[in-house]
Amino acid sequence: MASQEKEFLEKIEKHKGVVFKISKMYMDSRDDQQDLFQEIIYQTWKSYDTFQGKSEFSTWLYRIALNTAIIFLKSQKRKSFIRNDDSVENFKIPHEDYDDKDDRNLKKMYEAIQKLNSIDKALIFYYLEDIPGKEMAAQLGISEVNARVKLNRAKEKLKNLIEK
Amino acid sequence: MDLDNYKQLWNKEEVSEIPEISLEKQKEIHTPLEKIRRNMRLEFWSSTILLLFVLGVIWTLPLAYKFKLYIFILVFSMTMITMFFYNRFFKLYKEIANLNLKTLESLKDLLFQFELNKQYYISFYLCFVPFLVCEMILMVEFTPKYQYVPHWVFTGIFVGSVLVALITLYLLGKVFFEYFYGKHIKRIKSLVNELSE
Repeated sequence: MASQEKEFLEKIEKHKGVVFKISKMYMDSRDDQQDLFQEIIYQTWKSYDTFQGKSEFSTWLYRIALNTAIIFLKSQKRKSFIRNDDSVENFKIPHEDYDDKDDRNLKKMYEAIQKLNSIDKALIFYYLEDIPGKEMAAQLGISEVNARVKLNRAKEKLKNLIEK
Repeated sequence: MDLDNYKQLWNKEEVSEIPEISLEKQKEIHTPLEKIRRNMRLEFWSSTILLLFVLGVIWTLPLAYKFKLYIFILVFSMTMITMFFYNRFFKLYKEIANLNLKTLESLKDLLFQFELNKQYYISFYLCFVPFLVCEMILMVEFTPKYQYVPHWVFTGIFVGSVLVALITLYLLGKVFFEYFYGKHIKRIKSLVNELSE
């Protein structure tokens, strides 16, 4: 295995959980989530040469992951037959006093996020990952004020969807 | 439960069933842009095969030699033009979608490339207009029954046929473009607007 490939895989390994969470935010069926996950990895690998190490690898990865997810064309396969088959078992929270309620809430959150538009999903991702407003704005290519206003609107929409 | 609690859940979540990462397998993936490229390849081959089929049919039909030669040259030129434009389309799609840019820049870049492609498409269809008219002139000229009809009837038939052919070409181009690419342009445009607002 080439050293660049090995280095890339090592870096990706640390962040694959977050990348898969992005896929879960953007796609509702398991198949589509896996397709998007693979697509993000592929696009990241394709652009890896351009990663200059000026920023954190995670920052760079999130930008490519979200850009890929935003323009990803949802697969039309089995659309009319597919239902969201994500059972509560697929959302696992690992802690000693395991509580099924947390998993149900997580499922509810993902279902609500999936109803948001692509840009709002990206904003919510930055919020959930605790990315500062300035960095969020830089990643999206908009002003910080605009990013904050949009984030507040997206959070409000998400809150309403969860409460429904 | 407020959003900060959901944020805590998100951070605690351990994602299960993450697909195996293999860079070898990535070659098999059909990316969204790959789907568009695939549509273009399909368009290219179907247009080329159709034009070559027309060439073959013309050559085998029991028609006047001059007529066959003229039509053959016209259809052959159309095939060359098709090849030229599809070569441009393929080059264009090879370079599009720079996901490395900031989100808004990346979307604007993609939109620009789609719009450029649209202009290529319009030019491509416009190139067919003179060919179509020439072919109709030839058909009329080489059809004996049209030599003896009154001028006003001839003018009506010819102008009517040209109009029908041009409208059909326009509608075909429009439907084709909207079906394969128009929906993507609309989607990207709405994303750019959403982010720029």
